[in-house]
Amino acid sequence: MLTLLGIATGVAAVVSVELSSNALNRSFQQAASDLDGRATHRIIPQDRGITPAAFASLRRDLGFVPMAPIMERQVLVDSQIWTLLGVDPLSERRFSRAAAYANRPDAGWYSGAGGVVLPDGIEKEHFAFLLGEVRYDAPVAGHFESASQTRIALADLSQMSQWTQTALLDRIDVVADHPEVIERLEQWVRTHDARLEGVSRSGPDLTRAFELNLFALGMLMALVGMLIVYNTLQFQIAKRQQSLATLAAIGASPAQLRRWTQAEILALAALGSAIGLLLGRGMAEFTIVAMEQTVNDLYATVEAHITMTFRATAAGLAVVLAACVPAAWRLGLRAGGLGYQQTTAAPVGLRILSLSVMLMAVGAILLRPESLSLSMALTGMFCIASGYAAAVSPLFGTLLGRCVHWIGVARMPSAALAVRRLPRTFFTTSPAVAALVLAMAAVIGVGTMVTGFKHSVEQWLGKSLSADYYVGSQTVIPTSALQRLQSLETVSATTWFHTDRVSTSRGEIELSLQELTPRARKSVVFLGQVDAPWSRFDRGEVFVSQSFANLASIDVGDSLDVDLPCGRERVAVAAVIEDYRAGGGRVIGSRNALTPGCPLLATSVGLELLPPVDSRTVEQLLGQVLRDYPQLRFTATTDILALSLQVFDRTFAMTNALKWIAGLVALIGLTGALSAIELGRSEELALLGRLGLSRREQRRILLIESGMLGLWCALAAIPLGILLGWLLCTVINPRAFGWTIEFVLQPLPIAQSLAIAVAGSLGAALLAGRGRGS
Amino acid sequence: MIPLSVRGVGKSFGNQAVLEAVHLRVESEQCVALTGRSGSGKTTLLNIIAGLQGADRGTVEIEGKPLGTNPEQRAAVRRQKMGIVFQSHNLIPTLTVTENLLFPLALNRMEVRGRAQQWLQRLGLQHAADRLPETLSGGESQRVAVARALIHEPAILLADEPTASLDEDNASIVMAELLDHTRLQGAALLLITHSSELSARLDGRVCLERGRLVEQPQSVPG
Repeated sequence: MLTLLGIATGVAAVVSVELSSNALNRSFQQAASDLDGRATHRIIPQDRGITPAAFASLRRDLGFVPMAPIMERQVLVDSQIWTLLGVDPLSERRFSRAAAYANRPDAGWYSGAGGVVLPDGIEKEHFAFLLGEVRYDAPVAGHFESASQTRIALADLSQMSQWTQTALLDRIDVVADHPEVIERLEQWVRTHDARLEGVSRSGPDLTRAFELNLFALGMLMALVGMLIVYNTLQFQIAKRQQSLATLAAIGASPAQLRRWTQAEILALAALGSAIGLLLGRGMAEFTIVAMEQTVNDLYATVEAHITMTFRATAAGLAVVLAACVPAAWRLGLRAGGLGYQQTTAAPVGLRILSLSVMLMAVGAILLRPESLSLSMALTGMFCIASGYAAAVSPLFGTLLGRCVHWIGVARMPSAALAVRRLPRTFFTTSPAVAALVLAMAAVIGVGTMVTGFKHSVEQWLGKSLSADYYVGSQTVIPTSALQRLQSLETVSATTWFHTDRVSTSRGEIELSLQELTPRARKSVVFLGQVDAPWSRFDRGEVFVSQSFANLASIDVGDSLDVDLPCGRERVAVAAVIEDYRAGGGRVIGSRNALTPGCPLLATSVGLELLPPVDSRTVEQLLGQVLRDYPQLRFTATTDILALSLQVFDRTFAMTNALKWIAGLVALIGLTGALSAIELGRSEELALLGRLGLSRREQRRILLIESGMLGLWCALAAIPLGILLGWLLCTVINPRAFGWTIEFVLQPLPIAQSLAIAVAGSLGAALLAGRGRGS
Repeated sequence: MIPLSVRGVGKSFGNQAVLEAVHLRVESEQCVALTGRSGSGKTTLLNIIAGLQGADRGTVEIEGKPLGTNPEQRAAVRRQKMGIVFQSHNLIPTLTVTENLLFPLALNRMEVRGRAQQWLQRLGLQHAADRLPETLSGGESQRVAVARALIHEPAILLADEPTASLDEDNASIVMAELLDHTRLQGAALLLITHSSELSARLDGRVCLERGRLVEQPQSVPG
């Protein structure tokens, strides 16, 4: 039973992470699909919207290509800003986005009743909203699924045209997966004052960072799972020792014994794996709860489902196989009469220590700064982690073996008994101890990385969002709107941004042409030594984000060919700046210096206000100014900051869930190991009973022993966890994303791992020792 | 006060009655052999007397007080009033010889100074004081076990075939020490044995047959 539980737990650990990760990816795709449908591209007008005639011509030209016209407005509902999306139900049918909403039985939003569809959970009969200065009251025709009550309302495009009193479209979503179609679309946008944007499927970088985290955790879990399975089989081997001797005594040949025992291990592995696959699925369901919340909060409505995949099954079975082969080999050796060395033997400890040192040395070499590959760095990190974890048992076992005699039996007999057993327990449970150390180190390392990432993003956002309000659009800000904003008395200065994805000699990047106020200039954080950056910026040199500098191997003084809006130019790099924003990096240049004669409109502006800033008054004022420009949105900097951090926390919610699962799995493994030890020492415990130790006292000894084991494991995990956190912040993230995360050592993850290990070990001891003394 | 008194003790496992109305008394300085065929219930009776197992019927009195049913109380009585020696696995493997000797004293919060050394001297095992049990011979282990069973001066000594796994020489040394020290300390000894030669050296002999004590030539019936 214990063997099966151990194998099942090891398999479940790997399978759960793989399944959750898989479900996460599918959910992100689903979420993106809900917002963008199957759209691969968007056609966005340069200034005014796209006319219905232009849309009709496009549809004629590319009749077979699925496309959907979209109108989008911000409206006020009970002092809250909502997004009102006007969509064409018939076009939407060719986009999976429509399926999510329109196929709902209650979604009668295109029945011609002029109604809107709201997220689930918003119980209203009427949707009263303010569009510009006009108040409308639309009946609620249905609901779409949303766990987070997203503030999005859907309406029929024709109804939307009536409300907005315009037929101009804000964008056209297109499914274009053939180069010829894309070429024709590019031709079309050139002649219709629009631009073609690819729809990103990879999600934001935060999500990619999160996925990297998941991958790292998954690898650790595989290692933890393998150790647990191996530990379980090791006890199976010890248990079989006597029966093997008996079988040999009655004439079974070594070859027969080897075959029987190996068949036994295979049978156990097969049964344990089957249970583990089911258990892993259950554990994945648990993590999905956190994940759904994340996806729903970040995007739209999505429901994540766990589906058993070939990859997850293969990963689980690979773990069992990796643990079974050496176990079967060892058992085969014993069955073959080659004898079995106790794991307490010093040479075994020395061998493990030597192997650990070798593993850590290999890891250190792979992590050398000059080695740039991410996979090398990850392998190096795992070599160090596994080498360190493997060294804990022999090291602690040996050290404790020399110290435990200091605790006198005469004064504290129970404590002395518990502590005296520790060295032996360390040796006999070494794989389980290694698994626990790894899991606890993961708790600390990932916790430290997430905390450091959040701290870095928070600091960066706090510094870089220098304006008080930002006004933006999916398209561009008309000059008249900008002039009206600049003329407001309360606005002291404006920063000007034009952001677009462009081609460069080092790949496609995000280019941001800017006009910055002195305050905004102060918010830019330079990395490394810079020489008069702003004067060089004003002369036409550019700043590059740290991620771009690292990933493209570009530095101050290098030059870059950039497709500027009015032609390709070679620009020099003046400085590297801190930036956690765009995927693949960002280049920032002076609009005046780089595109002096080029007619260019802002995509967003930052408003610096004269103090004192009364947000209510300012927002009323901005609402009035922007009422003629419904495509423009304004957001307070404090809201951007709060939302960003909220998104951050929710994005990493699943990492936290997996962190706890890692701990739980390791503790289940430890429970199995402790239970096996209990079975093996029943004679010793019976002796204690004869000496007059009550059931309670025996349990206390077991608790002290397990608590100490957990505490030592957690203490051993602290340096490794800190090292993992540091590696994730300063080695793995720069190689994966190009940016450095500030390494901030926080006491919380350390305290969490200590608490999990000690409390979990005590729980494991209680489970293992239940029925003791009976 | 009679150290050990067993009155009408009965015990069944499922439908099979192992002990039926067993009565037994063992006085101070008295050494009684408990014999019987394998499976006759000797060890079960010993376990019931030690409070390691509960009886279905009857009572066990230690120095005139019922053993009771509370496991904590029974453990306390066992700790304070009894010393037990079994055939093997008598020593705690993680403690040294001295520490094994000190353990019952520590459990009973008794003065320990010098007592372990005295016992080691008596047994001639000073050289093994700091050794772990796994390094001792079978005879040495059993002699330490006897010493540990007696070191806290219990009223009752229970022994379950303590010499069964020893050679003749070691068996006779261990038995001599067991009997000498029991008498010296005024304890009551109940010893399970299959050896009629050994039984003959004791003060009394009772035999368990079909769950009953059928022969009790020198012991005092309850």
